[in-house]
Amino acid sequence: MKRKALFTTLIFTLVVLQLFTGCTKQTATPVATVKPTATATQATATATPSVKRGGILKIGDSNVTTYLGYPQKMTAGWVKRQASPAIESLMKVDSNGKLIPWLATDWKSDITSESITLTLRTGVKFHDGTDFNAEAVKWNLEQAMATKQYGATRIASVDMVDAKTVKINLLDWDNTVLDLLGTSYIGMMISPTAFKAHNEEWAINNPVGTGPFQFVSWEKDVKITYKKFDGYWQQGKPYLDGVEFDYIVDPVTRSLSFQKGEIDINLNVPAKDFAEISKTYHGISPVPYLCAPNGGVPSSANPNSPWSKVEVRQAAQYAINTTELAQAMTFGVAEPATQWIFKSHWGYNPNIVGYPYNVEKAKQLLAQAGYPTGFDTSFMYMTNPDADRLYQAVANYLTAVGIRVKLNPVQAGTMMDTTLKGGTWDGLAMVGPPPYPDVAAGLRDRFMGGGMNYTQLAIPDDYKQALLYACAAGDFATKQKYTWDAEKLMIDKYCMILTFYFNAPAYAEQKYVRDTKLGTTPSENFEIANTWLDK
Amino acid sequence: MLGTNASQEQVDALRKELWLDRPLIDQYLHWAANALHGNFGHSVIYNEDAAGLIIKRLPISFYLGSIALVLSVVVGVFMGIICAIRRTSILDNFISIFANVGIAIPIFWLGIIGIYFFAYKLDWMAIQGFTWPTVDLWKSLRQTVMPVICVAVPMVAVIARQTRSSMLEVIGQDYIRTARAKGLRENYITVRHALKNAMIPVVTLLGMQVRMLIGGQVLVETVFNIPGLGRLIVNAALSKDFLVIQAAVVLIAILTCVANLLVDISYGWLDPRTRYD
Repeated sequence: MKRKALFTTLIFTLVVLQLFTGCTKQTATPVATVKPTATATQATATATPSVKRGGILKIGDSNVTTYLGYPQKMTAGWVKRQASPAIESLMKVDSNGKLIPWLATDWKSDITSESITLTLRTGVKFHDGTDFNAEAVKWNLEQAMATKQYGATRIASVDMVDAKTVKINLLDWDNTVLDLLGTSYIGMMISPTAFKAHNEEWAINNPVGTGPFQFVSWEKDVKITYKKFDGYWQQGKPYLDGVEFDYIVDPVTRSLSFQKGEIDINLNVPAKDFAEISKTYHGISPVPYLCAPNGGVPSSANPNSPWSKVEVRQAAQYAINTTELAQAMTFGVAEPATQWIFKSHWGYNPNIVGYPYNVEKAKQLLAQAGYPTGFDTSFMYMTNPDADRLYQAVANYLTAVGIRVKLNPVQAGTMMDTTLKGGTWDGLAMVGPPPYPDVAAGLRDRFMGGGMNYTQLAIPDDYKQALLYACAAGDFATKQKYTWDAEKLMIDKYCMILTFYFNAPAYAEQKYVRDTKLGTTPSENFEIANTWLDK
Repeated sequence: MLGTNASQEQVDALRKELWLDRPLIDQYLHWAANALHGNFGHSVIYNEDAAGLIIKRLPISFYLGSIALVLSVVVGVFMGIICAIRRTSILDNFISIFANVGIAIPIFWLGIIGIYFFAYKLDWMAIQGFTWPTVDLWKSLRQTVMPVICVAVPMVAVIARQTRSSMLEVIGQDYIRTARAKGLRENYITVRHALKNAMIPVVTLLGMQVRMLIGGQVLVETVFNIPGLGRLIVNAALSKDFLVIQAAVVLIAILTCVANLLVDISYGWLDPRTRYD
């Protein structure tokens, strides 16, 4: 009897467990069968539907924000995105990274007087009812200078020419400052009146800008709420009643919440789920503006290191199949990288040949460099589960041609101290900062030597000269020419860095969400004033 | 904390602000001195006072933890009693297997499965979030049931096993046999005579579980997206916001001491022999 009872109980329990495991198997993600495009893939209806007003757009995000309302202390791209419904910039950039007018309608660069003159849009009000004018712009830029925000250290002074004209005087002529006004934090405008009426602490927690939505509340780590601003300068907009950013850290919970319709946009879809999500919703593989290509920076400035030889660096790049790597690591979502900027950006040089996968060529170059049997080296990178897989795969590629890699996973702080704060390393170190906001500025600040970034990287004189010309150019065409020249030297001639692929987190939005232009514009990732809900 | 574009001046300024340019012992003494005055520092990630942050989050974790504790005590003790008085029956075997599974099962897995079935497929529950019952009772119930069950399951399992073990030991005592011989009803004997004596190890266990209720809800709060203390601790740890972590650890230590004190006091009520005369 006892045996029978025990047997019955065991059978029952096994059946229950089998049901559970059987059900969990059904939740396994299928292999990606759809290859998404590298640009935004919002579906367009055959007939343009008419705009519907109303509704609250709910955005699921996983990034914690610290300084929501004070741009001069912002340090992360997602903060800009979360503040963008309320705070606008002087300019924006289009999908190619070129400036377009926004709060500033026109600009003139003067190399002789080393200044930039901005003409401001009239009829724009801050959410507190005060005017957006030259005085407000001057105050904002001076705040940026005082806090030494990125880019503002090149500004000498700001003059108010008249109520709608501002002149920015530079320390030396530098065309990257203009781009920063459209892409970085220094161009974001908040109300000086609101700031002065309270204090910095208040301003950090209460964004008061000129945007289509007015700040309502911010529960840290929970939700940011905005409501429609009726006094917005674009007549008839926005179409939505409000916007909410809901913090949902766990990717599975966020994904289920999105699929259940609790949120309208999911800002971080794992690569393995992207193909499946794209079948039912709008899956968007965004312009990878906010991320650097995965890659490696060699210690080429050390004359005793094998990495000081260009043949060795070229061999390493030939040894890595970036297309296969991107496919395997990101299910085809990522764009293989041949240079430090992605394809749709103006800074992308189509004339760069790069190093297509060729194991024999790699071995030949290694022999030429005096390492026919290869050599031992290390690869330092910032550890997380995805990076561990990626760099192990890279190590396998390199080992196959004789470059025996010892992986050195470290925490973020150590990585930054080593690569961006004047530290040293031997071997390879992970590429970190993105080519944001301006590729010429990014190359100059990260890969031009003389500062604290990548001190172990050898900087050739002709490459450095091309970059200096690019940043000093008086017009866009000249800037692009010299930027391309610098990149050609960086990759084809000197192979200064190794590049693998661009891996921007994918997005997904419900099919009824219209016109966000999500992921197509690098400025704030949203056209939030134009967004509407077709339901 | 400052991002990759921070200038050296910004880094130096933040180091000075956080006392990171001082020796470790100075930093600790400075923090301890301020902590004695209730000042646990300023969170660099949340840009708020660390103590204020914890005070905001604690009620949520406490609310969920309290419900889970009450539920686990009631269900766990009941299951333990049933197992003890129906020893070797199907019910005893089933509850014992459930208890073993409940201890072994990963909470985050249970949570995700629960979300998938009960929230996503059946739409009986909410997927994520937290609402106070005073704000919206129905929404609060839909959001609270699954997290509470996830927290309670391992506790129920542990309490049930301990209760069963203690009850079996007590039921075999002579005074229980005497009570039966006197003709007392079995239920009366179980509750009035056996249970009280069997509860001492269970109460000890509860004291150890209390600290889990606060800090141990990390996984549940992350999976169900509940803005409680556990999730705050996780975010602080990942962001290296050490002031928040320190403040949270102090709080958990204090709560653990209080819980153990209450457990010690309860011994006297449960077993008069342990009282000091």
